[in-house]
Order: sequence, then C-alpha cells, then structure tokens
Amino acid sequence: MAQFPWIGRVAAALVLASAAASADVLLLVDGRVIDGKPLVREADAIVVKFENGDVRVPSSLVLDAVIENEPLGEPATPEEAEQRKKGMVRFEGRWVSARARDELVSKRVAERKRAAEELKGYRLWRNAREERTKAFAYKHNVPADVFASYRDLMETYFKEFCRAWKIKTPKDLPPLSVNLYCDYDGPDGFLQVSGAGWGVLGYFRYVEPMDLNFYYDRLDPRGTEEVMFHETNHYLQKLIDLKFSYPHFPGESLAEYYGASSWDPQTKKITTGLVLEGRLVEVQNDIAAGTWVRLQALISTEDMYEHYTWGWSLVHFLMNRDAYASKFQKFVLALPSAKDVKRSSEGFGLQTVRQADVFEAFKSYMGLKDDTAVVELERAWHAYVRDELKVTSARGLEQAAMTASRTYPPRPIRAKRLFKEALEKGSENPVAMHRYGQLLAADGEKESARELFKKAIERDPLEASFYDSLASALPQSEKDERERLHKLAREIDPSAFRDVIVLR
Amino acid sequence: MLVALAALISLASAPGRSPLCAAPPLAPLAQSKSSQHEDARLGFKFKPPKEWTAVPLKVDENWQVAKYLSPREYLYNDPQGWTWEHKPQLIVIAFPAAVVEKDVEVEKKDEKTTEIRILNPFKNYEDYLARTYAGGGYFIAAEETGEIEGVAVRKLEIKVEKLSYNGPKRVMTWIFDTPEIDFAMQIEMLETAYPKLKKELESSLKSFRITPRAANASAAHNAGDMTLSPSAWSDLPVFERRMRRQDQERVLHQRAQQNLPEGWTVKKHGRFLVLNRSDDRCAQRMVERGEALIGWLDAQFPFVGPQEYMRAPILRICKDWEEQNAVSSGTGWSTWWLEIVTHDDKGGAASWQGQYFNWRVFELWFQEHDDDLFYAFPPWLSQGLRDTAEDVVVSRGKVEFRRDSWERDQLRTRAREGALSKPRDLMRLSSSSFWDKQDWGMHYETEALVRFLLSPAAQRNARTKDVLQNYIANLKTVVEEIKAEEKPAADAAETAKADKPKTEEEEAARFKAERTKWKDREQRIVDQAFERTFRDWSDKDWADFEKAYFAAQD
Repeated sequence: MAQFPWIGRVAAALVLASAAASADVLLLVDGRVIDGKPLVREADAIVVKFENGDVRVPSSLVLDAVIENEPLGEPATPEEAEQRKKGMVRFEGRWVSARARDELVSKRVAERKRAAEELKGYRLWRNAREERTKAFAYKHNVPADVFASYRDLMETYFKEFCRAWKIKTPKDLPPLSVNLYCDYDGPDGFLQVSGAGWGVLGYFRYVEPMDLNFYYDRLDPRGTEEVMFHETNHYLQKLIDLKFSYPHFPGESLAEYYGASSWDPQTKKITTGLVLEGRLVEVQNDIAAGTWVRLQALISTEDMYEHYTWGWSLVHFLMNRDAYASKFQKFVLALPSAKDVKRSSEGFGLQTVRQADVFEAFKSYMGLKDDTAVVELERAWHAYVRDELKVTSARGLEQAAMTASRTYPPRPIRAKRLFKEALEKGSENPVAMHRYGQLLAADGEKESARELFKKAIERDPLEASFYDSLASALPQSEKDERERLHKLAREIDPSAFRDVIVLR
Repeated sequence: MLVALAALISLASAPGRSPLCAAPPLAPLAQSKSSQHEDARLGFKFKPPKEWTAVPLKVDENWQVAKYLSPREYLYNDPQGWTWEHKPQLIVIAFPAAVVEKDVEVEKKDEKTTEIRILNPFKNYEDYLARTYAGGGYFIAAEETGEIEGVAVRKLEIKVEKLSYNGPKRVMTWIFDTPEIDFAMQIEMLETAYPKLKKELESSLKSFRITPRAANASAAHNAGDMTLSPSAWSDLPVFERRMRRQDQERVLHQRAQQNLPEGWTVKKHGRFLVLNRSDDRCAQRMVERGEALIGWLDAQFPFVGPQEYMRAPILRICKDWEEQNAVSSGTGWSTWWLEIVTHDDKGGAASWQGQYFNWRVFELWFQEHDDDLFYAFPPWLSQGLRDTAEDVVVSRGKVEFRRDSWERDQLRTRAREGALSKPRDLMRLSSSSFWDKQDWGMHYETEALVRFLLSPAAQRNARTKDVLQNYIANLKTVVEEIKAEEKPAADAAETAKADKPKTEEEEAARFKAERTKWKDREQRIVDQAFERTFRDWSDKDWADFEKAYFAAQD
C-alpha cells in the first residue's frame, strides 16, 4: 500500500453501483465505494450525478474521489490568471505546463483507480487482511482506519482487564483469532462468514479453535465498540481459567458491564463500568410493562435473556457499591476453582457451575445469610435501578426512542418525546432523525418530517431510505418530485427496496 | 454470545415458504437414467458422479431441479475428539429469468378485492446461497469464468469454515448462464474429502449441457390456491372444507408419486401413502403402528373434530439419515403439514426414528381434527403427550405406553432432590410460566403425569379414569368460548386503533395491558380448563392422587 499513500487508509469497499457507465470512483471514509457514476468536484463536496438527480457528498465524508478528465476550475488569483495565459497551471505548489500536469494527473488517476479496485477487493473475505500482535491475530475486511481504532482498543482493553482482575496469561497461549467484518448481513459480512444466526451481534467461540467475531456498523460505531468489549470480555473471563466456562450469569452480565466502556483514542485510555444505556432502556421497558425481575430468579435460572439486561444492572450496582464490589469480584473469581463451589461438567473438557449452584455461591460470597438478606439486597438493587440509573446522553435517548418506537405495542408518543430530547442534546445521528421523521409523518406532521429527512440526508447523503421517506412525505401536488426521489433511492441502493412495493 | 432483542422475532421469510406455493413448477419431467440425468422440460443434462443416487425433490420445491447423494460417507475429526460423518451432495438449482424478475403477483379477485402476493424470489445463486445455506459460515474463496460449448460458466469455490455443521466444508458451484434460465450446479463435501473428490466432481460439472427445452418451460409457474395448513378454510362449512381437503389430498399424493427416482416404491398402506426406499416390512411395521395410534386416538377422543376429514399422510421412508436430510432440505415447507419423512434406523418403535414417527402421527391427528385445541395445549399436556407418544409400542394391534429407563432415572433423581412438582402445580403452568422456569427436568415430569393418567392404576380408579379425556374436552370448550369472545373483540380492536392514546401516560397504560394480554390469555385457558375438570375434587382426592402418582414414579 505504500505506493498509494493518499489512499493508504482505506481497506474495504461497498460497491453500490457496479455498472461501469463512468470511470469515476468515490471512496467514503466509512468504506463505501460509489463507482459507475460521474462525479463533479466542488469546493467542499463531491457531487454524484445519478440518473435521477445529483447527490452532494460533503468533503468530511469523502476519503478520495477519482475523477477522469477533471476540468480546470476558474483561476482563483490574478497570478493564476497570468500563468494560465502562458499555458502554466499551479500543481502541488508549483507552476507546471498544463500538458505535464495532465500527464501526471492521468498517471495518478490510473494508479488511484488500480488502488481503488484493489481496495474494493479487500471487502471480499478471501482477500481479508491480517495482523498479529501478542494477544490477538486479527483478520478483517474493514477500512484500515476503522481496523486500527478497534485494534488499539482491544489491545488496551486486554491489558486493562488483566491488570484489574490480576490475570496472568499462560506463556504458551497463542494469540486469539479475531475476525472483524465489514457489515452485518451483506455479502462477506458477519452473518455470512461467521455463520451466526440472525439477531446475533457477535460471538466468542470458547472451544478450540477459539475465535472472536464481530462486525463494523458504520451507522453505529459506538454499538460496534460495545459488542467488541462484550465479546472480548468473554475471552478475558476465559483467561481466568482456561478449563472453565463461566455460567450465563455472571458471564453475560459481566461482559455487558465491560461493554459499557469508553475509549479515548488520543490518550488511548479506557474507562470501564459506565451506564450501558441500551440495556438500561430495555430494563426500563420491562418495568413499564410491569415486570421487576427478582434476584433469585435472575441468578438461579439458566440462560435467561435478562442476564444481558437486568443482570447487567445488578453487576453495575454491585461494582458501584463499596460494600459489595470486592465481594462480588471474589465471587466471580471463586467460581472456577474455589473448594466451596459445586461445579459440573460442561462437556468439551470444561467445567461450569449450574445456575442453582451459582445462586448458592453468590449468597455465600456476598454474605447473604438468609432470605431476608436476599430480599434486602434485591430492594437495594431495584432502588438503584429506579433512582440512580438514568439515560442521559443523546445516544442513550436515541436508543430509548428507538426501542419505544419499535417495541410491541409501539409507544410513538414516548418515542417522539425522547427523539426531541436527543436532538436538543445535540444528536447528529441521521438514523434517529429519520425514525423521528417517520413517526411525525405517520401522525400527519409532514412538514416537520420533511425537515428531519432533509437533515438526515445532509448527514448521510448516500442512505437510500432517507430519500424514499422524503418522497413519501411530499405533498401529492409534487408528484414528479416524489417519483424522482423514489427512483433516486432505488438507484442509490437497489437492494434496499427488494421487498417494498408501493400500493395504491 | 451477544444477542439483540430482535433475535427473538422470527424473521423467516425465505421464498417458497408461502403456503400458496405448493406446486413444483420446475419439477423435472425426466429423471436419471443410470449414468445420465436429463431434464427435457427445462433443457439440461449432466452426468452425476458414479454410483451417486438421485434424491426425490420436495413436492412443493420451486428452485431445486435435481439432487444426488454420494453413496460414501466421509469423516471429520474435530479438535474436541468427536468424529462427524457427511455424504457429499449435488444439487442443481434453476433461476428462470421470468421468475427471478417477478417480485409481485397481482390478482384481481373481484370488484372489491385485489390479492397482491409478494414473491421475493432469489435473484441469483449468491442470493439463494445467502438465504438458504445452513451448513455454516461461508465465503467465496475463488471465482473464475469460462465457457463450455458456447455457454458462459462462472465457477465458484466456496469454503465453509466457521460454525460449520459437522465439519469444515467445500462447495464447488458452476453457474451456467443462458438467456432464459441460469443453472447452478452445486456440490457440497467435507473439506477433508475435497482433494480426493475434486477430479471426479469436476468431471461431472464439466458434463453439464444445455439441451432444447419445452416451450414456455421457464415461465410454467402455477402455484395455485393450495395451502396445506389445517387451519385453511376454517370459515367454510364442514362439508365444503371436507371436499377441499379431499381434493388437496388427491393432488398432493399425485405429485408426490411423480418423478420418483429409481429405487423408490409407492404403495398405499392403510391410510398412508408410503414412498419407500427401505424394505416393505419396515413400511408395514410403521404403518401398523401408525394405524393403531390413529385408532387409539379416534377411540379416546371422539369429541375432538369428529366431522373433520383427516387427510392421508404421506410417509416417506428414506434409506438412511443422510438421505432423509437431503430429502428434507429444499426451499418448500408446506408439505410439513401432511408428510412424515423418516428412515429405517433398524431400531423399531424405541429408536429415534420410531419415536419421531409416533409423535408425528399424534401431531397430525390433532392438527387435522382441531388445531385451535392442539395449539392451546398447556405444556404439561403438549410436552407430556409428545413424550408419551414417542414411547408408544404397539403389540397385536394394541397401544401400550412404556416408560424409558432414562426418564425413570431422571425422575428418581428429581425425587431424591425433592424437586418433583405436584401434579396440580404442573397443571396450572401456562407455556410462559413453564418456559420461564428453564427447568429441563420438568419435561420428564410432564411425561410421567400423562403416562400415569393413561396407566392401569389411574384407569382402575373412578376419580382418575377419565381425567385426560375430561380435561381435553373442557379445554376444547374453554378455547371455543374464548375464541367466540375474541371475535367481536377483533372488530373492537379496529375501533380502538382510531382511538389512539393521546398522552404518554395513556400510551404506557395500553403498553402494559397489551404486553400482559397474551400471558393472561394463556393463564386464563389453563386455569379455566383446570377448574372445570377438578372443581369437585376434594383435598383428599388430591392427596390420594398424589400418593398414587408419586408411588408410580419409583
């Protein structure tokens, strides 16, 4: 890649239009590639000339644009105008003849096109790139920048967790295979290559050959981090004792607790144990439906989904109370090897603890001597959930709004209020704007909806569904524009509309 | 594993799963003739690998047009020390342009009604693979293009590595591109078998030829109005429903018999249409057991759907497990309602396949007679009846309920641990409460309870003699009453939609009510069926019952 320094940061590509009607290529920072459509460069944007209209892509989203036969712009200064008369043009800070410039540009365009083709190829898993460190052997088909940030994060996280939980890795332990995929359900994405079932966001395979799999969600990079923290945590739990498989509680709950970590890419520092607002929203949704999960049921039931949600809140509570934090850590560390914990076989040469026995160990290590003590702890935990855990960030509000709008039965009034609060808090998430707009449109507030759709398009001008929603929100009188936008949406991403049929 | 809440929502939407698609539009008119497979209608032929056997296609298959199975099993030893077996399989899939491009079918039924069917067909082989392949995570490891006798060919080498079912695999697929129909010839094998098989399989792939096809073959798609679900036509009068079911049975049986590969026999045994690749004695034994079970069910529960016509099931007996898997795989699912696919595992009634057959007969009987009732069975009855049915043996035409030793040991362990539930507690559990407990041992208890109710000890006692029949009769009444109540409520729901909540508080209240509605309904059915069955039981009756029940578990 060294020979193409200007695109050395790119790794993967999503080909949205493969017909080679135009030789121009647009590379986006999130890994998408648009080719086959003519491009025009503007001062602060690249304009993609689709058949059904122009789409303006701000420079902040653009990694590189390869435009063949790009015309010279108007001279910007008197000096430039003077040189132009002599047949000279400014190129890379010096004056050269237009012909020399054209030859150089043409050569570079050819190189860049070759590089772009190569980069598109990296999206194919067979061309996935590999990198090895002491702890992890990575394989990925995402942009290089994206990969680098997750690699740094995983390396730091690994060190931090081992330090906090006093884990010593065996000397002969080979690096764990880590696979990072370019998207969720597209070609050569997570579902296809990892073999996971629909709904699974990532997994750690805890028997040989061990590996860890997750994907890059370009619309929710923070969500990608959460999944990565979660799955990596399973591996770190495994390192406590390689012959032990942590039971669903505390295994999944602890992984969720570490899922809520934050990372400062500048200082490369990690902060753990934050509020996992997405899970808190699910807990709050249960409470709204009248469900308070009981402590004994949570800990003593096998494979509960609530280990991800209520279990997370319990671990958060325990880790944030001085009276419980160290006891809880001792309880976790005791499960693989303490003499007073009853273990059973998990198969594959692994030991585990059944949930009923986990509850016994929990009571013992937490010092809960009788049922009254269990109930007291439960009360304190429930009060913590009710009174102290709050959804406060714009992202948390967005997640809460999304859940409210998609739950059954949907809660659109709540969702709209939360979306509004998220925007007031500075949310810049186009997906949230789009969903908010859809809710407003459904209520007949078409004008406000259109504004939101337009804002969403400004932030992600190549997301086809935004144009489709905008088209549907236009008045009947603007029939031509509606039709154009519907067509434009399908031109941008034909696969997104395979199942959608407009019925009249 | 991190799972989104969305995982709890069924997203199955593969094409061909529509209950409307029962016809096999692409079923070949010709099958294998020893060393050559020819399809005159779709216009292709190829030479399958030597000694590979043709596998019947599903009756409602819309995409796969030929299937072959290797006679030889290959082995894979996994790092945990397990050995897995796999037989390579060859499938030809056809992608007619006329079908691939048709996203929707619109049919004007009358002045007021237009039916719009969303077909969502496979767009190409990659789309087909992404939406149907269940053998593990895969990627295209190599791709090249070529030409065979003027036909463009795309050759794919697919590797299946992660979470692969019974071992890492290799899929070789050649896609033959013709103007009207693209054909994909796909061969799947264990990665360990690939080096040995590559040459022979390539030779088979190279033998694929396009031949003249019948006129309009690619557009011959007539799914027709044929849903096999037992709930179809539930609004029609009984007589009309009966006529339709009989018509459907005739058509389905006809189609199942068409184009059976060499080695399969067809015979009507009693009420079963048997398609057999095993020996006739095996079919005879199975059918005798099936007939005895159906006779027993008719006699025990005469009040369940007495006027319904029970369509004759298709019993497909494959040679072995691999062939059963191959027959069961495909893109159509509607024949599940009427077809039992099994194989002769030489184990008789107590074997896995014997147990599976028993249960399917029970299931089909209840579904065909009253599927509303069947789906309302609380877990003690649905699980208990299922497990009891699995262990049924038929001796001289009489049905006997036996307890397997594994279940007996499990119950004894639970008894020792003091974990055995009281029957009345078990009977009060709705599905939600049963599954919330996540206690696998309770399955053994449900079987023990149902079998006890059928046992001579319970049959001799006047109190318990008819408990099972009474319970099911009461359950049927409760389900019918609730269904009748819900009919007007369904219209009211439309009105309520217009009367949407106006505040967040109103919305929260409605959310809470809706979220508990289904659970409340389930519990109401369980409670009322229980109450009506046991309302005149005294504490002593229960004490006597429990004493006898627990004693029977020793």
